[in-house]
Amino acid sequence: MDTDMRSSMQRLIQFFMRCITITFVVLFLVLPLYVILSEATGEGMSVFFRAVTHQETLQALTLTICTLFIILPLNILFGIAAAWTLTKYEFRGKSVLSALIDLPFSVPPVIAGFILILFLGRHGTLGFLLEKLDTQIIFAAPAVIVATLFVTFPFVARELVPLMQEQGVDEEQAAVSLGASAFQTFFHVTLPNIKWALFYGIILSTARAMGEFGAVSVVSGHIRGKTITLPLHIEILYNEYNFTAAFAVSSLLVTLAMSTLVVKEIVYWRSGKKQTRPTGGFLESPETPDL
Amino acid sequence: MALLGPSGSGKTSLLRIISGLDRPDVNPLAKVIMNNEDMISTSAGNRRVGFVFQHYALFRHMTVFDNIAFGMRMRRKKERPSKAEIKNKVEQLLHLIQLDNMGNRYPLQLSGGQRQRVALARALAIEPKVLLLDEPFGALDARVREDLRRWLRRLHKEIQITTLFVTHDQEEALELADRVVVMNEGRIEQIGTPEEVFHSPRTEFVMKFLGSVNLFHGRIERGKAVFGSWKVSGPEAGKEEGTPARLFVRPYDMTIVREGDPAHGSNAVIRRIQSAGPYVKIELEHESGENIIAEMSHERHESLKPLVGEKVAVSLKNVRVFTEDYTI
Amino acid sequence: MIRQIKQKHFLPGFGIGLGFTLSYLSLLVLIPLSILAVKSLSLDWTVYRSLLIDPRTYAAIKLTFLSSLVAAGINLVFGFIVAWTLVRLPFPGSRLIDALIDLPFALPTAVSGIALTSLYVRTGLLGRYLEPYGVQAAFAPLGVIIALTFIGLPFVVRTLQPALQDIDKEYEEAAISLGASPFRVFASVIFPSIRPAMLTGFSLAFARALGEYGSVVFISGNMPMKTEIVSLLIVGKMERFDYEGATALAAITLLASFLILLAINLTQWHYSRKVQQTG
Repeated sequence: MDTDMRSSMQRLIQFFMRCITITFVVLFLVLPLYVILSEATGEGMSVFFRAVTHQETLQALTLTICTLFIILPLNILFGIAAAWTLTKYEFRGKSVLSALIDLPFSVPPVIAGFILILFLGRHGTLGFLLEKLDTQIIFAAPAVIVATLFVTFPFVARELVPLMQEQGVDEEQAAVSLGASAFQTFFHVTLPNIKWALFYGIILSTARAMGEFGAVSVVSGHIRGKTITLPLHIEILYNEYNFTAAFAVSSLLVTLAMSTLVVKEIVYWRSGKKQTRPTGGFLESPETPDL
Repeated sequence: MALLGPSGSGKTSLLRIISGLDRPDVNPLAKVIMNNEDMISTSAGNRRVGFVFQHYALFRHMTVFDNIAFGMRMRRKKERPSKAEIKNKVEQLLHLIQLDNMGNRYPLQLSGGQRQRVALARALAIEPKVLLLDEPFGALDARVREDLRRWLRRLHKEIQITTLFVTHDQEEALELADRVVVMNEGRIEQIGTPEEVFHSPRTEFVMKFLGSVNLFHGRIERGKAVFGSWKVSGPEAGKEEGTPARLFVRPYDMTIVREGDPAHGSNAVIRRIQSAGPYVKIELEHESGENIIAEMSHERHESLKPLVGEKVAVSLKNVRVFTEDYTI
Repeated sequence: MIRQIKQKHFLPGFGIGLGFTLSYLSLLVLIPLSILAVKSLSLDWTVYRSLLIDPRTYAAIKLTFLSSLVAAGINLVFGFIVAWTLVRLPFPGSRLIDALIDLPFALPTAVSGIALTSLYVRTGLLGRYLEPYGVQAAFAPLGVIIALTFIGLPFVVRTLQPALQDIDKEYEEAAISLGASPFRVFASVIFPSIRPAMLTGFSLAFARALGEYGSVVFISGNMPMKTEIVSLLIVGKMERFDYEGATALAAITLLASFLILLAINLTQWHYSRKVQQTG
């Protein structure tokens, strides 16, 4: 009798917990998504397509893609170099280096933009140099690239480090003892083992690069057709009460975000780890693996 | 040749230095000599040393075939064998390790023993001058270990490559190796044939490490090592009077006789008799209070019929004596 | 002893790797950050004083701090329920919810900002139900809290999930077999083992909320003294070329968020040491 009551109590609690979870997730995650898509297409598909193919949207998209072409190779290079250094060798100050790589995550985006102004702005530390060279970084397209680089560069490294840490150096050792050079070892042994994590790191960098708002907003100067990225374009459209267009452009970025989540699920599934979910490079957690 | 020693004795480090994966940082004059050539400054990749790792370190994303072919494919263009030659060689090696039709499998699909053999084939594929095996049977269960040990001995006869393997299992070392190097705390204690290290250990450590042993703390008296009523003469005879001496005796070198038998033994009381096993194991308490372990054959046990609690005389054979000031 | 031989340097490339990593880091992060540090330290202290006695700044700091705290608190409670449900009470569709948890990370903040705003404005999908009760969400402090809750949710869930998975069911079963009530089991077995994760998740959500910009600026309405957050104040100072004020405020904010992260690391270190000692 007592156990009966207890188990029915338990079932009731379980039911409530599931209800709360679903409500909370719908309220905070599903509804915002729904609102974007419904507002974007609320005035018909033709309005949607006009907004998406508008000249300013295309210009913003071009800038974003140009940025990607510059930052992705750099992020990959840095990510691999950093992860390789951190996981294949033992040296003093390793945990300090690892913490430094995570540093940009704990810098609020607006402040990230601001310190770049202090560094590269006209009155900034390197201002005199840039003036001599007659170039401008802040409030010009290069600033967008530098700011994006600042907020995205740890992503690849963060995906690679835990994986390479776990894989150790056994296979590299074997390759070297079989006569492979460092490059051969990297391309034939290391790279195939990390390609999925690398891919996911690239996707994360891409998503963040296309979506970064705070840091880019501060340094871009909002020059139409020149330093406007997609999120800045959305802001402008929204502030001009051009809601449909703002949501139409947003829906492009939503697609990107959703595909990030899908890729993450695939990588998670491929890595075959059933017990622990990857926290994903999104999680700006200080829980770096013990190095 | 086997490198034998307890964990942490430096066996693996020595192996890694020979392979070139590590460098000795203790002594800049260290040399690694192979075929009369100092290889210390040659990189691991150019030493032509086949290294089989403790946990195999197979390339998990490659098939067995690709794993074995790896070393040949990584050679510089000029020295690289043709595709057909590689295929030929890999198939030969697959045959050698008795995994003929497994070339397309991935390491994860193999059993521990099979992985071990693939790792061996991969190391052999570069036609090494020396083959190094790090705890080759460490990660396998007892049955597979036995089989593989036998197989490896046959294989070694076939391929005739200087092979150096690390183990902490004395039985393994004594059975497989022509010569055994016993190591402790980074030092080599003794090098010799299995018979030499087992029967005439040069140091206390070797004595203790290879098989069980009884230890008695005695002293030198009139040129002989003395403990109780045992007196042993030996090479330590010249030592000063009263020097503490330690007497080591293997359990099977202890002879038990009934009291009253004509023997100059020492008295002891039988505490426990364990007759299950290849030998009969007898635990005794010596008159000095020390515990002794003795072994005797079942035949001897039958004829002697010792009883627990009985007082017997014990005599010693093949006693090894080490004195206090002995330095390693 | 031979064991002390430096290991792993059979692979070349250490020098290049470390050199490249360090110079890249210095150029992009360390030098700019140290410039902020130098500039903030060389400021006249009157800048800080005028900043701290400015009621607008005070209001912004108060709003940012309190709404971040409330949002992190909401996330702690509901994040725990969500994580518990996903780990312990899976149901059809829970995998999908699990995958969706990361949405706030993946969605550009500006997009989240306008989406939440249009949900909670007076005519919005949710705002229209709040309006009759006199509850104003958008363009009010409540809106800031909503945006910060949205941003912080994954932090709590994703730090709690592994901790909940790690709890050994045997302990729970042992406690139940000894006659403990479900509540006692939770209080004495489950809660102590997930406390560090809860603390971490809370602090991460809190730290992130302190610096959040994109998702808040749209829904808050940015009214000085009422719904203006610190990040926005910094932007405002920059736009008026008040770099001194911006430097001071940025330095304070950055210091606060670094201190929080440091505190997390220290607590984690503390807990892991405790575990090592007992186990």
